[in-house]
Amino acid sequence: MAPQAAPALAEPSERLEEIVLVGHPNVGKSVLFQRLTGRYVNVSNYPGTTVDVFRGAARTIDGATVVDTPGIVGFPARSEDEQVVSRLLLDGGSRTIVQVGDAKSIRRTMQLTVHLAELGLPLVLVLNMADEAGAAGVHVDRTRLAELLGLPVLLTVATTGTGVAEVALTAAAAPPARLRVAYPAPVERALAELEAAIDDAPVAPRGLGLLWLGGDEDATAWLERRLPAGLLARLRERAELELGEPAAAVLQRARLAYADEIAAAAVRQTRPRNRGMLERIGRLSTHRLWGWPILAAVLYAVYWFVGVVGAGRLVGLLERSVFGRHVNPWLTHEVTRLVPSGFVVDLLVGKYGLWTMGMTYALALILPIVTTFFLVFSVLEDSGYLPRLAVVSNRLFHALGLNGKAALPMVLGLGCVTMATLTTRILESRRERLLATLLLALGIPCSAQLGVVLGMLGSISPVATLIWAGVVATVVFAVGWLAARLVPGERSPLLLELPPLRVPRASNVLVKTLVRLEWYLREVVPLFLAGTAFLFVLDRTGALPAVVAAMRPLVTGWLGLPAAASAAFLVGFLRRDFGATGLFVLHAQGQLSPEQAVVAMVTITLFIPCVASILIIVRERGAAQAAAMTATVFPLAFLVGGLLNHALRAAGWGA
Amino acid sequence: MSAVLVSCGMCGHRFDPLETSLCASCPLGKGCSLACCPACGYSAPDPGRSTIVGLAARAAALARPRRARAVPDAALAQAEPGCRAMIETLEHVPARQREQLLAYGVAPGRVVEVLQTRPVTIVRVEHAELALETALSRAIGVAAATEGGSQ
Repeated sequence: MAPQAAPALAEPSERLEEIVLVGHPNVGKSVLFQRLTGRYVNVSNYPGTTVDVFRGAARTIDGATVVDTPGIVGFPARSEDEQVVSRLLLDGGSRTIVQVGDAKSIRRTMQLTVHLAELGLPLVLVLNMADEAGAAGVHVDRTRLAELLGLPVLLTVATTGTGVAEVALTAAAAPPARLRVAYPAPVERALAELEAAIDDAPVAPRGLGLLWLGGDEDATAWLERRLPAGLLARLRERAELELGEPAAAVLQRARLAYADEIAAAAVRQTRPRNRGMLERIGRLSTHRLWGWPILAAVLYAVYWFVGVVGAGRLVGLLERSVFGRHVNPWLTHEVTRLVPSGFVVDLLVGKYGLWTMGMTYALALILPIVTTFFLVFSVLEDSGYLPRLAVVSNRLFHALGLNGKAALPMVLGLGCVTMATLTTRILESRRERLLATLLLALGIPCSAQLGVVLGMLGSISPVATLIWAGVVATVVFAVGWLAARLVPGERSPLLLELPPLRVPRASNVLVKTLVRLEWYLREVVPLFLAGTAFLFVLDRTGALPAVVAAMRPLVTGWLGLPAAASAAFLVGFLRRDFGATGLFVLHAQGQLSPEQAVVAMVTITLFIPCVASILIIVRERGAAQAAAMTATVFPLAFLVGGLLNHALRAAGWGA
Repeated sequence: MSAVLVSCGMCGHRFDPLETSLCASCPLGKGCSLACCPACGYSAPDPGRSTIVGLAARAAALARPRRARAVPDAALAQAEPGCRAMIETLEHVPARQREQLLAYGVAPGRVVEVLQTRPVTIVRVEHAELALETALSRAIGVAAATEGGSQ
């Protein structure tokens, strides 16, 4: 292979429109994306799919867009997120692929490089985390590697920005990849025949053919639409007859051998530096015995920070002191003085006032809770602990027809169920995604909900918190267990990469927390205002007493709660944390006994999280499944709440 | 053709319930979950079409002890933590997971370092750590493992 000219000097063949960042999961694509675009992620829907990719304008190249994609394990694309990447690449257009790889795992990176290079698009290989590679004793000869692959190769440390400046320039000048791995003759014959039959492929016909031979569904569908019927089957049959085994296995072997060859020629391994403490903690966190105390310690730390500091002290300070004594009385006074219309005054600062209810709930109660949660959660995410949780909890999820990987969406669900529902796409099968989505919708409380629950029940007694947690966990487990047995299909075993434990970078944790807060407030405030306005209208038109009366048999009779709780459940249909906040306020006013508080919290926790999460479930799983889940979850919530009410009364608890 | 052949309860004739010619001329049409024997005309529920029978069959399958999958002679799951093992075969691994393992570089001829075996197997491949459920590591055939040493 001829050596490449210095990439920055080469002339781009045409105007570059898109730089697509592609690579394995957890190699630093998003950090690089931030560096290249100067912005945090900007969500956009990719046509024809359900999963999000992120786009941003390139800082240094006029008119070019940088695209961040979900991490892929390899081709053919199997999971939903891999299919998004595969579709994006097969879409055509003027684009350069920037493969981001882990500099420590050259062989694995090379296997993907071969796949991407075969598409024949301009390609740049960025070996990221060069610092960690150095610590692991991996020394990459960049020039040699570039020569062998016939591609520009860069070494970067995206977190510190080292080497990142070159990425965009190199991408703008990158020539189409010419790397060609020689496959056995029967494969080459089939490819040659295929290439001759295709004339309008969005990528190199050879690459398309290789994807098809490897079993990629999108490539196969594309080819089937354009080629005479039966040609593909005939070509595959002949090739596999000559090969004596499936073509996919032959391709895979050839690529593995090529990756080994390249790594042997361009990478030198010396003795790794000892990572010491972090490595030991990482090992202990997946230990079959020590893993549990470590998990308990992590959970306690999260509880302390979110439940005690956030929901307890910060909410107390903001709600009672700042809003209760200063902001709200002042604003009520000013609005009453300045606005002549009693209707408008009531709408803004009345009992169901947009400010006194909607904004006060959102800013004084929810904001401190989600702030503390997102902060502690970002630390956990960046530390690399979460995937280790999958190892510890694998057995538990086994009983629910899932594997430990499902721990990730579940834990993310403690942050925001809506975001976590999107994360279920990391699970292998439709069945597993459905089961995980159901559990999320049913019983995983999001940060706002959790904070309100912990703040409220914590002030009653630890037993109240335990009853709540026990009942919700039992219901989630029972429903999960049952669903796993009723939904047809097989569970897939755990297969997950564990990233090294790292000390989180403060700047990244802060930025991540701020971005999430902004996203959350944008989502929460309008819904809280809409819910408040809805109650206000009901109250003004005199319909509220009628609705409360209609709900009386359910709320007062079955759940044993005061009639005032009806309004909370009503807005709980919109967002359950809104409902929980209403119940929190009722409790603070002394209107709920301990027994009633537990029943109310259990019922509202088992609600569907919010309107946004229903919309996401519709998008991800379809309207039928979303409707089925909604129709199951709400009645189940009231059923469990009522049973608990009667059980607690029979036991004489909290009376 | 249906995967399940049905034995007629009356005459003992074995037939494929989807291929009986009687159904085409029957007024009960498509919604029917009975299978009629082409030899004697006797009808019995077709397990392939009846929801209740299907659910019962699933329940029975759950109660039945699972047949163990074929496993290799020496499996990754049996290797001691701390040793290095050369992967010999992935032929007992289900296709989907085999693809993933290969993409991670767990391929015949490559050497992995076993870091942990319980509650799941954790191996180091190049410099990445991979957690594999024991059911999976039991299906990965390895050549004799060697003691100790990092890569």
